Amino acid sequence: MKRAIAALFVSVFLAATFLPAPAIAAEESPGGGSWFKLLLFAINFSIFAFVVARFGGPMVRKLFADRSTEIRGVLSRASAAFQEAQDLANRAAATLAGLEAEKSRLETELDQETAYQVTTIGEAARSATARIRSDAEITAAAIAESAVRRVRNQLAASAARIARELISRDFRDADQKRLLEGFLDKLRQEARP
Amino acid sequence: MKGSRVAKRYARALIELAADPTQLEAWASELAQLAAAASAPELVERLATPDLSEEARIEAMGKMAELLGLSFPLRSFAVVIARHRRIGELSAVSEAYLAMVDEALGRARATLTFAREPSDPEVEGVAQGLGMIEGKKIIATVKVDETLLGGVVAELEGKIYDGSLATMLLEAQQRLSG
Repeated sequence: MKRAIAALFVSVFLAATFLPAPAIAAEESPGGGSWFKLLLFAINFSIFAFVVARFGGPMVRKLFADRSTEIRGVLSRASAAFQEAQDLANRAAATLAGLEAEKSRLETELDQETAYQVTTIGEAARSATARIRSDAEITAAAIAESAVRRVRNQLAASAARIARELISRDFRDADQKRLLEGFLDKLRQEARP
Repeated sequence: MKGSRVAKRYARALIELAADPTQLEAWASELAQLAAAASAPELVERLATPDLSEEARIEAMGKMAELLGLSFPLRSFAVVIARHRRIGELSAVSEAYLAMVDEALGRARATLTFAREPSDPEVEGVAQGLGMIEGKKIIATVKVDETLLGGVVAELEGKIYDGSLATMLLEAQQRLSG
């Protein structure tokens, strides 16, 4: 690469040195050109080229070297970025494939769970219905029984109250005597061994 | 209080002092008088005064027993009770003594509650009936409670014999109620 650049540089130098010669010759009178002028021009140009090469060469070389280094760095980074992008793409594809599988699995599980929940809710509803019916029957029976008991209690209390009133009104000595005799009979029975 | 060990001890000591059973009965009455007098609020307050000396308290009990006309053994017993600082337990001693005398004489006390004022034969009949159960002579205390409606309720040594019409009606009411 360096050799090619050097050859190119020499070719450009020679061309620049000698290409103006026909033009200069054309400007001269038809009698012919002056080799001295050509030589002087060549020397001037050589000096110019030397000065340019001496003072501008390193800078140009450095410029090109830096540019080359930069381009190589950019290329290297681009390559790394490309590789990274490729890896990311691969991973994304793998993830996508995994997600598809997960989605499929979730769909299956969801279907199974839905079916299970539907069955469970159905059973719970049937059980609750049976329990509510049973509770309602028990409650109804208890209410009915309570009502009957309440009525019986009221009837018994009324009967007792009426009996008390009648006794209070019509109780006689003979009744008291009969009660005491009954009481004494009970005592005698208890006294028997 | 009736069953306190101290009261029973004093009651037993008094019983052992008696020479014959007739004294037991008389002393029970005297002891009840003494207990009633000693438990009068104004006397209790006086005897409990801290200003009153030991001797004065003993002397006061002796004087009180004398004023009540108690026999010599009961006067001495009153002094002993005062000396031992047991004046406050005289009522319990009296009750314990009475129970022990009843026990010694083969008697039992019953409370007969009638629905209306009973005749003597009715009281006697019920007392005899209870006596057959306990095998003791029954000393009856009669009460009247019109809420019984009819019949009698007897309480003998913690046991109730209910022959009242009110209870019969209540049982009938309970049977009707189911």
